[in-house]
Amino acid sequence: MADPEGKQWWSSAKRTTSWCLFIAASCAFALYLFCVGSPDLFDELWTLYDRSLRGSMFSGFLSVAGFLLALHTFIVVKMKEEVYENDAYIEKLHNEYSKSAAFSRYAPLGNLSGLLFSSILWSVLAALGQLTIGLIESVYPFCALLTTVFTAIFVFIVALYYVRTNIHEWLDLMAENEHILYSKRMRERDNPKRN
Amino acid sequence: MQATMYRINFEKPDGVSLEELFASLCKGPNNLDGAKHLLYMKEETSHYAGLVVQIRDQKAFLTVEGITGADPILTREQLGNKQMLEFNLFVLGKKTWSALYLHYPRSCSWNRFGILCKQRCSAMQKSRQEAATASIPAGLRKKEQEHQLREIRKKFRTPLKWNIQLTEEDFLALVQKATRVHDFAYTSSTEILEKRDYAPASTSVRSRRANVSITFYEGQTLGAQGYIAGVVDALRGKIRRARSRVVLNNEEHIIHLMKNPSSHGRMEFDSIAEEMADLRLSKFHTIGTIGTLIARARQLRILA
Repeated sequence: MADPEGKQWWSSAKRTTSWCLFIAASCAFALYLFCVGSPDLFDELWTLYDRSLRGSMFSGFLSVAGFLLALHTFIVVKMKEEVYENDAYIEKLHNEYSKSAAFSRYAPLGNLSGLLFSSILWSVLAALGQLTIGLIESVYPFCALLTTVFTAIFVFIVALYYVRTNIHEWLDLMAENEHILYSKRMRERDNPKRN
Repeated sequence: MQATMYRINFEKPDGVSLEELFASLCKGPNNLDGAKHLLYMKEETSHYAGLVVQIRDQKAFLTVEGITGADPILTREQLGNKQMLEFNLFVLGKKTWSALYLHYPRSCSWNRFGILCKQRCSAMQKSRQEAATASIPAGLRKKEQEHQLREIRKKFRTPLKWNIQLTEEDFLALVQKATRVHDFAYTSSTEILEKRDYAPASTSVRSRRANVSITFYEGQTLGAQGYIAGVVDALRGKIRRARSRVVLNNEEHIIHLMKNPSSHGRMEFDSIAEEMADLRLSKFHTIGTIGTLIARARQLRILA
């Protein structure tokens, strides 16, 4: 799915994911600096992670990945049917963009799909990380693991926010259509002769 | 012929809340200025729907009202095809206190609608002010009484005000009629259908102030017109909207000058006229045109 403006549909998702990765890496780096400053801190964190968090994080991120996989299909299909193929929405887009730059109707949907896919991927990576680099008791692998965990969490939050925005738009459009239908029914009831 | 949608923003007057004012207008009575204009309003959950009727032939209207009683049905047969009534529909958002007013050429203008609301508001302010004045204890000293009177007058000083958005041409025509123009300031706010990366395109307003403030009073209006025309020309292409305060017929208006007023929408006159042919006034809020206005108001974020 290519955007007429020249962007590929995944470029927005890549950009958002890169930002999340950058912030996550910064958090992990800050933790690394703390650990270098006080070696006891790493030992305490490792003990906590090893005893209580590894198993929960593994199952937690796998569940999130499964949930997102289901949500991905549902939200993309429903948004396409209910919003992007809605006549009122198409008319609104044509009115605004017919004369100016071309605008792909499905580009935002492609971007959202890319973001959800990215979130799934990072959740799986974070889950797998618990059973691979998460077993190595050293600062560097631990910080790398934390980077994947933070990235998965941030991308998940961003994806949820955009899912909420999409659902909000969908409900707005439904309310508009509902009122137009209601008015039409009332008009038909009041003036049966004309119909 | 096309009817144009105008956006009017109401500003809260002193001493009366906008909720109270419009609730009072919903209750009636509807003839606010000696039966020349009628205002019907219906309250809904998120908005008010309304109808301003301008009566051209008062005698004929009274005859019709006499036939059908309190719930007049205005049919073409009853009117004998006389063009004695003109209708202007509007919806008003409860959260934004903005109205989308559907105006037909040469009929009751947005300004008249504002004036009708203001008449009721002024009456409410006056009655409340009188009640507050009457509640001043009689035993007070003269100075204290005067002080309290001044305080009461302050509480009810600001009348109902309303703002409007116009095209450059309409705006300049209005300035020529104005007796005073002041605080002419451009606000480059753009009402656009915003493309978004992850969600469907949505209507939104982006604002950035770029003020060119001047003050002109009566006697200087020619200069003001020239200056404003010059500023409009100079900034043409760079702005979507400008803001100015204009005094017209002793009413001060805040005018929003829009480059793309068509984004508020237009409707074909014929389709509305057909709906209005046999209109039961108590059920005006169910007609399709109101539905269309509500849908448009939602797009413009006038309604939540």
